[in-house]
Amino acid sequence: MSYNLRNRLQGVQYLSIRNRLLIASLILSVLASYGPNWIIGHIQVLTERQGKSVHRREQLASASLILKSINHCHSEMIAYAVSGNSSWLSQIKISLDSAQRALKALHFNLHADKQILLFDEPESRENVEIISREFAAWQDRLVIPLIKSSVPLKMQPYSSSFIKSILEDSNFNELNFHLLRLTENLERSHRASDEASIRATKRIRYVVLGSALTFMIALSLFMLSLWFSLIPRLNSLLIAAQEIKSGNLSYRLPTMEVSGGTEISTLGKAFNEMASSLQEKNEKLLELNKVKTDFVSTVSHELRTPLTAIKGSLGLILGGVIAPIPVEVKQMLEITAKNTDRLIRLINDVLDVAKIEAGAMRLNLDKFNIDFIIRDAIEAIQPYANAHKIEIQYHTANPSPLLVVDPDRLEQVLVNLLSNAIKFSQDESKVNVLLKLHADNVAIHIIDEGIGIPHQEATQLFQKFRRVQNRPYQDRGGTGLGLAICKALVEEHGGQISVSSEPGKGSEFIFTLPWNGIDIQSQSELAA
Amino acid sequence: MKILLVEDDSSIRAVALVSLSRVGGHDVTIAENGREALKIAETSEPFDLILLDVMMPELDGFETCKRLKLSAKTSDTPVVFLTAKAQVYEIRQGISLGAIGYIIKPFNPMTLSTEIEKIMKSHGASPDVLQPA
Repeated sequence: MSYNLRNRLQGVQYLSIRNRLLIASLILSVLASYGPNWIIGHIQVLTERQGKSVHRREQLASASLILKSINHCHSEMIAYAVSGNSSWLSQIKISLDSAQRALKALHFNLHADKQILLFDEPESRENVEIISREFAAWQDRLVIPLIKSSVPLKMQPYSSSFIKSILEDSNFNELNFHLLRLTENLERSHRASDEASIRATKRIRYVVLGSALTFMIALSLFMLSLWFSLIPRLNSLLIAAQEIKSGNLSYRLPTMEVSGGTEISTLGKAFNEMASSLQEKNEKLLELNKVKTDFVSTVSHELRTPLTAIKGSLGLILGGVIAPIPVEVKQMLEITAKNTDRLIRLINDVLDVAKIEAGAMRLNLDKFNIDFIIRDAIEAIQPYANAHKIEIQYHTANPSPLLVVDPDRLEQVLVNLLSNAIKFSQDESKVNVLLKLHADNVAIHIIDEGIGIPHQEATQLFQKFRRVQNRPYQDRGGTGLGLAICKALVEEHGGQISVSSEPGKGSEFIFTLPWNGIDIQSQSELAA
Repeated sequence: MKILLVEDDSSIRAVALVSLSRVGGHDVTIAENGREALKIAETSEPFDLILLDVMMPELDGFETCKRLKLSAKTSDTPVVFLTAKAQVYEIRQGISLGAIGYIIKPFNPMTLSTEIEKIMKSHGASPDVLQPA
């Protein structure tokens, strides 16, 4: 049982945002419709009560006035009867008039009351009837006759029995009695309704407060539920994204977080699917890459093994290590040896191009003194230069920059360019090598004084299989791949290569390599 | 010096043997594969140099080098790799396994010994080790 309950509670966490909104708006709309309705109803009651109390006050005023007036009238009648002074008559008239008016007002009020159904004390209604009756009787029997009876100017005091009859008039006494009762009742109900109003106002205040509080609580609960369920889920999604970014492609969101139909669960599921797809594609790519690199390695090995044996055995024979050989045999074997070397160079070029095409060309980068690499390249090409009596002049820079390069590949580029320079120059000419430092790169210039390159060929020089056509030095060999490989290697380092040439005057090859402008090895360091 | 040559191709083995012994004047022992090399290295007198081909079936050059470095008897013997040019980037890995240098195939049989001596000199080998046996 408790297991079920726990499940149910956990399930609340997995209410979708849409469902939560529905529930919240349901609660709030119930509150919204019921609360104000109740409040308005009570306000209506209050206003009615207000109106009722106004009426009551008027009634009270009228009743009090009647009471006062008749008592004045009574006193004035006594005074007249005692003194015989006719000037009292006008006072009596005034008092009677006032009482009549007040009674009329009371009646009017009573009838107006009917519409609002407020006169709920039948006793009061009865009182008013009696009051009217007694007043009419008193008025008609005693007061008016007294006013109307013409009293001669000569004062004649009335008899004491007459005075007594005024004093003891039963109508008057009844009138007084009932008026008092009426005023008492009116005051009492007035007080009661006041208290009721106060209570009602208090109740309204509590209801309003309660509604506002409930509204706040409902809203807060809604917000909190979003906060506590949404934020952790978003966090775990963030972590998952960061894991994937850092290369952990096997990371997935746990099953618990991606089941259930909520919006964020759907997002989580989509994320997991995306990660799976990424991982799969990545593995395919890695596999493909491996296949390519394996192929190049295997082919390279298969080709170089027999060539090693051929070059090795030839070299030993020509080196005189095995046995003395006749001169003509030696000459033939030298042809074989030269062409073996040529074949080796060709295969190296072809394999390099294959690697570049397969994207398997990988550089072994490290910081090196570029000056050393240039000197090594010049040293390597020196025999070839000497054979053609070509002088290589190297103008280095001071201090020497330290660059992040693959030294073997860089030497390959330099040897290739120097070899071309020598190949296309006349014997006994000069080849200049310049190292120039710039703000964010170094430039290496290889300048020859050879036959140059026609302009329209210069633009296509770095393409594969391009060789200059119809040249006098064509039999000096070359696969047409050298410059394409140089370009690829230079660009792989982040640099650029270009050529400027004038037929008959010579050519200048320039390639750049990125440099941070800071790292150098000074001459003093070298001397140390 | 005493050299252990490990190479699976018979032609290259023959050429290297002649080059090292006749041109370089060294005492050369041959192993046809990694397994044989380990056996010979364990049972013989210590060598001055092990020349190790990389691409070999079953146990390749790297694995052989790793095991040589793990065995107390052979861990101090310098190792030089023989390799085809395409695998230079693997050679850096080989250096990290403890080899002191590499020779690229195809090599010049007349200069093989001098190249090896150059590598050994730059790694602090004493001159009398480098002398012909």
